[in-house]
Amino acid sequence: MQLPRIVRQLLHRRIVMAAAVVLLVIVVLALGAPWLASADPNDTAVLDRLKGPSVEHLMGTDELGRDLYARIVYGARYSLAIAALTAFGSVVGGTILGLVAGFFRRLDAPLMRLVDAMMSFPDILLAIALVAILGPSLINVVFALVLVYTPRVARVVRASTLVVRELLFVEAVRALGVRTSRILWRHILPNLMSPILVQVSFIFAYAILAEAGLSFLGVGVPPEIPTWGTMVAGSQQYAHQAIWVVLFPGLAIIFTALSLQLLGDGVRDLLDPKLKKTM
Amino acid sequence: MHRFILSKLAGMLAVLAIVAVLVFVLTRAASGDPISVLLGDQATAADIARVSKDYGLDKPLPVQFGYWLREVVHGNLGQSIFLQRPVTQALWERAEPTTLMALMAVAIAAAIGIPCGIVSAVYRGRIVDQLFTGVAMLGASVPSFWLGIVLIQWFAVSLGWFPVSGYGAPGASLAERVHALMLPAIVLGTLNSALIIRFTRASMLDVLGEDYVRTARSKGLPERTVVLKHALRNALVPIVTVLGLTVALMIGGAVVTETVFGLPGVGNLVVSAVLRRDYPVIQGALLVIAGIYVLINFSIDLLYAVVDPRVKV
Amino acid sequence: MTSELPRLVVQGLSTSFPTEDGLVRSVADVGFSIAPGKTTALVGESGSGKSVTSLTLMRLLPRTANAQVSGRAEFGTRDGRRVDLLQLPDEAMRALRGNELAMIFQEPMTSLNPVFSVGEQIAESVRLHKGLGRAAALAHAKRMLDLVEIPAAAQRLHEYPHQLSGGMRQRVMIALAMACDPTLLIADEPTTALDVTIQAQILVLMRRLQAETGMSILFITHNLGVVAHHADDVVVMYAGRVVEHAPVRPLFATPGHPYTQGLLACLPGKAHVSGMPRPKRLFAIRGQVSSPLNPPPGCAFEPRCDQAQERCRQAMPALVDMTPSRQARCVLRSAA
Repeated sequence: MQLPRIVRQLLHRRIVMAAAVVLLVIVVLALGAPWLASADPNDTAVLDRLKGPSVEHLMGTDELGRDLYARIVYGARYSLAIAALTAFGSVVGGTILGLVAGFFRRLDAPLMRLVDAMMSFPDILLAIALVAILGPSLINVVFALVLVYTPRVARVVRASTLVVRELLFVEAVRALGVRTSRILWRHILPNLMSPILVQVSFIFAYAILAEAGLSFLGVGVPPEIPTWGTMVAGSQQYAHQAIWVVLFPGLAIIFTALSLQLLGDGVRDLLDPKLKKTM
Repeated sequence: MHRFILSKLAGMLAVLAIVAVLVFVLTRAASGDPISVLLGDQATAADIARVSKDYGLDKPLPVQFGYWLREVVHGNLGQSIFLQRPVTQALWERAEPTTLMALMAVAIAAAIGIPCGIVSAVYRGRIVDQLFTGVAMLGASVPSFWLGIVLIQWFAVSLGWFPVSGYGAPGASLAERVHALMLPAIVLGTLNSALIIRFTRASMLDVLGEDYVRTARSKGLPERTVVLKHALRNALVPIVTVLGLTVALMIGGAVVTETVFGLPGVGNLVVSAVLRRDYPVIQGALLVIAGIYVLINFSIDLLYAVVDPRVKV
Repeated sequence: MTSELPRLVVQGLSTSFPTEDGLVRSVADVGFSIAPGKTTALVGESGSGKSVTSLTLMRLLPRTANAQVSGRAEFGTRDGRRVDLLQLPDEAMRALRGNELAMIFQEPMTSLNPVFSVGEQIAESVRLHKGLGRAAALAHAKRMLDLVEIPAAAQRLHEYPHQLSGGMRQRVMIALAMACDPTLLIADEPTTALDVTIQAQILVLMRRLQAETGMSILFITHNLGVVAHHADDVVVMYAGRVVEHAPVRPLFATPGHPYTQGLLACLPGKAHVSGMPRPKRLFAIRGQVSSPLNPPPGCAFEPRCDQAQERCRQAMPALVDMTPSRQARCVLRSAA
C-alpha cells in the first residue's frame, strides 16, 4: 500500500528527516534526563573543576566541577519548556488576533497598527523591558516572549485569513446564514493550519534563542535555573581557560534552533508550494 | 504620489502614537509614576507636589499622558538616575559606537548576503544553493553572544588580531575605532546576512522566472549579462527593503553584542539601565529606538515609490 | 528557382521532463522541415507540445526543468554551414540566437524588460551581434521601429514598455527579433493575446517582412483561421506527436487525420457544406486529451476518434506518406 503522498515526499527530503531525528533525540534526552544523564547536574566537585571532555565527563566540567553533559541535558528541559510554552502561547494569541483582524474588515486597520507598534521595538529590547517590569522568573520570561512574538504570528495569520476569506466557499457558507463564530472555527481556521504549524516551529526556534539571550544578559530566567543561556552567562568568564563551558551549551542551542527551522521550512515547502519562494 | 506619501505619513504617526502610549503604560507599570521618573530620585516631596500640580498629576490619566507627551516631543526625556545627566545626553553620547557598528555590520551582511543570494538563485537546486541556504539557516540559529565569545577567544585572545573588548582609548582615531568594532561587526554582520541571502534569493528567483528574462536569453546574451543586468535591476527593490530592515535589526542586535564586547553604546546603556532600574533611561531609549524603527520603515515605504516607476502614477 | 536546402530540418525530436509524478513526454518523435522563405505552421491545442518544441529548438528550456532532449535539428546558417541546433556548444548557440535564429513570444505585455527603454533593448541585440557602437546601434533600432510601422519612432525609442499598448509591444518584439536579419523566425502564438483587429495588422506585417527579407517562419498557433491565410505548410500536433503534415491547401481540402478533420469541422464556416442546410449546432471533438503521465499504448487520439478500430488501441501508428508531400499518423491512411 502506498503511503500518503505527503509522507512520501517528507521522507524524500533527507535533511528535513535528519532535523526531525535530531529534535527527537534532544526531546528524548530532555524528558528522560534523570535516567539518561550520566551524573547529577548539581553535583559540585571543586577538585574536578574546568576539566576538559573525557570519558568520565563527556563534555567536561564547569567552574564548580559539575558535569557539563548532565547540565546540558537537564538544561534542555527548561530551555525547551520555556520555548514550547512561548510557541504555544504566541500561536494561540497571534491566531486569535490575526483571525479577527483578517476577517472583520473594520477591526483590521486598528489591530494592525497595534501590531506594527509592537513590532517597532526590537525583540530583545521589548522582552527586556517586559521582564524588567514583571520581575525575573520563568513564567514572566514566557509571558514577555509571548507578547513579543504574538504580533508576528498575528501578521501571518491575518494574511492567510484574508486569502481564505475570499475563497468562494466562505461566501457560500455565509449566504446560508451560518453564524460568524462557526464560520471562523469550522471553516476558516482549518485552512490556516499549515501556516500556523509552520509558525509554531519557527517561534519555538526564536524563543530558544531569545531566552538564551535574555538569560545571558542577566535579565531573563534567574541564574539558579539551569537553562542553556544561564549556563553560558554563569561560565562566561572562564571561557579563555575552558572554552567548552561555553561551546557546548551554545552548540546545544544551535542544533535545536537549526533543526526546528529546517523542520519548519520542510513542512512549509510541502504544505504550500506558493510560500516556498518567500521567507 | 502626494496622496501616497500623506497616507504613509498618517500611518507612521498613528504607529508612533501607539508606541508612545505603550511606553507610557510600560513605564507607569514599572515605576508607578512617570513624573517622578522624569524628575529623578533626588526630588523632595515638595518638589513632587509642586511639579505634580504643574504637570497635572491630579488630573485624569489621559491628561497626564498629554503632559508627558508634550515633554517628550520637546526633547525632555528626563534625567538618568544613575548617570546624573539628561537621558537625551546619555543617549547621544552612546550613539556613535552603536551607529558605527551597525553600519559596518550592514555592509558586511550585504557583502556576504547579496552575492550568495544571487548565486543561490541562479544555481537553484544544486549543491551551491543547498549549501548557501543551509548556511543562511545556520546563521539564523546561532546565538550572537555565543559567537561573540567564541570569536573573542579565537581572534582576540589567541591570535591577538583584535582588542578583546572596548572601543579604543579616548581620543582614538577613526581607524582604531573601526578596528575595535571589527569583531562585533563581523558577528552581527555574518549572522544577519542569513536574512539577506534568503530575500535576495527569493527576489531573484521571482525575477528569473519572468518572461522578459527569457526574451533576454533569446537575444543570445551571455548568461552573466542576463542575470546581472536584466534580472538584478528588477530584483533590487525587495533587496533594498530587506537592507533597511537589517539596519533596524542591528539596533536590536547591538544590545547583546555591546554587552559581550564591552562597547559603550546604546544597547549596553539599556541593559545596565534595566539592571539598575534606571527608568528614565529605559523609557527614553525605548521611545528613541522604536521611533527610529518606525522612521526606517517609513523611509523604506517611500523608497518603494521612488524606485518602482509603476507606483509613481 | 534552384532547389535550396530547407532552412530547418527536424528529425526525431523528443523532449521529456522528469517530475515527482513520473516522466512527462511533452514532445515525442517530432519531425518536419521548413523551406527558405516559407512559413510552416505548427498547429495544436494546449498541451500538444508545440511550445515546448519551439523552446527546445531555441534551447531556451529552463535549466531547472532537467529536460531530456534527443533528436536532430539541422539548421542552415547564413554562411552555408549545416549545424545541429541541439548539439551546438552554448557559445555557438548564443551566437545564433537573436541573430540568425530569432523568436517572438505570446505575451507582449510581460516579454519586455520594464526598466530599460525600448530602444535600448533593441540596440543591445544589435551591439552584441553586429558589433555596432552605441549611437549606430540606436540608429539601427530606430530603423527597426520604422520597419514595424511604429509611428513617431524617434520618440518611442526612449520610452519604456509600460508606456506602450499590447499591439505596440508586440511590434517592438518583432523589431527586436528582426534587428539582426534572422533567416528563421519562430513565432510562438504571437497574436493570441492581442485584439482581433491588431492581430490582423501584425500578421500582415509579418507576411510583408517575410517577403522583403526572405526569412522562414515557424508559426505556432491553435488558430486554424490564421493558418489558412498565412502558412505554406502545416504540421498538426497532438499529445506531443506529429499527426499530420501537409501543404496548406491540400490539408484544408482533404484532411488526412481524424483529428485534423475534427479541427476543421469545428470551424463554423467549414461545417457548412454548400448546398446542404446550415447545421444547427457547432461541432466539438468529444472527450479530452489524455494525461501525459500515463499515455495509452495505442494511438493517442483513439479515445476521441469516431473512426477508431481495434488495431488503433494496440500500437501507436507510424507516420506514413499519403503523397510525396503529405504524411499522416493514422492506420486509415496506411492502406495506400
